[in-house]
Amino acid sequence: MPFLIYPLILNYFHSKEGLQLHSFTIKFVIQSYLKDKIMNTPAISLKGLQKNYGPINAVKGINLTVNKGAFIALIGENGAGKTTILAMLMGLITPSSGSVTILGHTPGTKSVQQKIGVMLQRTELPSVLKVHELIQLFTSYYERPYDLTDLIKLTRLDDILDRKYQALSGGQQRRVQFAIALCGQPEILFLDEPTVGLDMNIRREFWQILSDLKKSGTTIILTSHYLDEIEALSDRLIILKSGEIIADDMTSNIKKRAQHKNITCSTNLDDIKLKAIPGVKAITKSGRLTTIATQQENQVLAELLSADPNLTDLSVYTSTLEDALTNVLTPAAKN
Amino acid sequence: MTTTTDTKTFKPANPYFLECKMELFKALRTPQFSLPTIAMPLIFYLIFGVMLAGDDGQNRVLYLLTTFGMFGAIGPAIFGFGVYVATERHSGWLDLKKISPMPLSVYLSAKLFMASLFGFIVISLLTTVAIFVGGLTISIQAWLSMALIELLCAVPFGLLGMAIGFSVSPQAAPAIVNIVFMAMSVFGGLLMPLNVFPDSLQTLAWGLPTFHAAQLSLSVFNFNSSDNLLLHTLFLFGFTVIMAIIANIAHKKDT
Repeated sequence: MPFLIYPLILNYFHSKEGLQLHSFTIKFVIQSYLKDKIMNTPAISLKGLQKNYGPINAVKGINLTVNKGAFIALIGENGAGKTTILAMLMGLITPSSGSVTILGHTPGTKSVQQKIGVMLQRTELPSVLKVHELIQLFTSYYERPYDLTDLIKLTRLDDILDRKYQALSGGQQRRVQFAIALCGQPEILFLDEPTVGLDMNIRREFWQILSDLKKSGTTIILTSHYLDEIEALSDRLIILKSGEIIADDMTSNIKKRAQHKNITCSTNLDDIKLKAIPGVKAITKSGRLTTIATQQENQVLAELLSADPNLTDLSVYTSTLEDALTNVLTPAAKN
Repeated sequence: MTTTTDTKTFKPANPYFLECKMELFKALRTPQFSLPTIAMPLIFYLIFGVMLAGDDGQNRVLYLLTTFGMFGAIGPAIFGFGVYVATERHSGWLDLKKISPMPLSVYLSAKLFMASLFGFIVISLLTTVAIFVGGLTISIQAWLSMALIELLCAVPFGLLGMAIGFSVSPQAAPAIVNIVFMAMSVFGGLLMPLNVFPDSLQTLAWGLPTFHAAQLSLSVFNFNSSDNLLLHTLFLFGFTVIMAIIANIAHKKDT
């Protein structure tokens, strides 16, 4: 660190006036050095992470780095390893091999526990305690708690502070759990299926709060089955399958990569004839409707109409993230 | 109580204090769970200790006050730790706390506080019955020694409850805790004097921590059947250490 020594030498040769100036310089250099070091520490780093339960490998060697301020979505079918990875990040279970660090420290240590907030799946808080009691209790655990007035405003709990937890609606209970996740002003927020079973307008309200938190620099890790939620919020999407990462890219890239048009119609043509049309990527049927996925919708439409002039209920739309993921997750798309 | 964001409602407070306060609120708001813990030893004592006291009235009232007091102190400890830990573990509430920076000692001391408070209430009520219904006279000093010994002896049973709570489901916990608690109480001589049992069962009692705890509390009134107080103390100490180790293993294994 020669750049640290330099002002020290200067300081030695200079007069008293210079001394103050240079002690300021030293402070500045040290501060910016430390700041740089802290800034470069990833929020989360997983190296060769494995978890075995007896002969079952729930997580098979995951490598992952998450930068500060990122909004990551983690998806995969049930049993893909999401919950196990989250439990290791939260310090609830220890890896069989490999390493997990959060902000440079091991999960489960006090310094990490002060900096993370979590919303778990299927949590029941003590049902007879009131909302303000639950929040007050949890806030007392943290060194640097959220300002309570702000927290209540942010999570919109004003009206229900004096209600018992058991008397709340499902959406209100999730809001209380969310407030509990935020009690310690976390730098990293883990949200495991936070909006399951909630109305669309409540979910949208929740998305708004999350994007505000993201703007303020919070790193957010989200698992969800709602792909619209992931599309609306996340920057980066990680897809897990049988304990491995099978896709890891910007959410927009994953969507783009697998983007296509869907042509839906009611037709008499069978699968063989449909597949023979050049440009057809996939065919799915539901009821009497056939959906054809393609990237050359004009040619396919022309061919389709000439092959079956009697087809009805025709519509064409751009694929959603859900369609894209169906392609990624189905075995055919792996080739 | 205000429903607005009153700053008074949200004074930053000590987590130990708050945790105890919330446990107390929980107990007060669910009397269907907390009252039986108090009522059960009271009703048993009223029937067996006071109403059926017979010839040897005074001695029997005091003897059974001591053993029922022990029974009443162990109950909240073993149930409070056993059933509540199992429930909170299952609901995810304990996971949330484990992930948070809350020291485990906050959680455990609140449970211990509740067990001691309920134990103290039970012992006090039993004594009230003994004095006003059973006509007992007892010095405050002797009573305090008895109460203190009983509350201290209840601690390892809290650890036993914790080991059960961390190992079984919340549905199974009440039944398992009840079986362990009742069997230990009956065969340890807490509900009836041991001399009503055949010799073989009296020997078996030496293997039960409840027997040793009862002997220690009975020694306050010279009712103890054995003079080996050091042995009783050592047995309970060993039981405490073993239960602490088992509870710790069960806690570590639980995820």
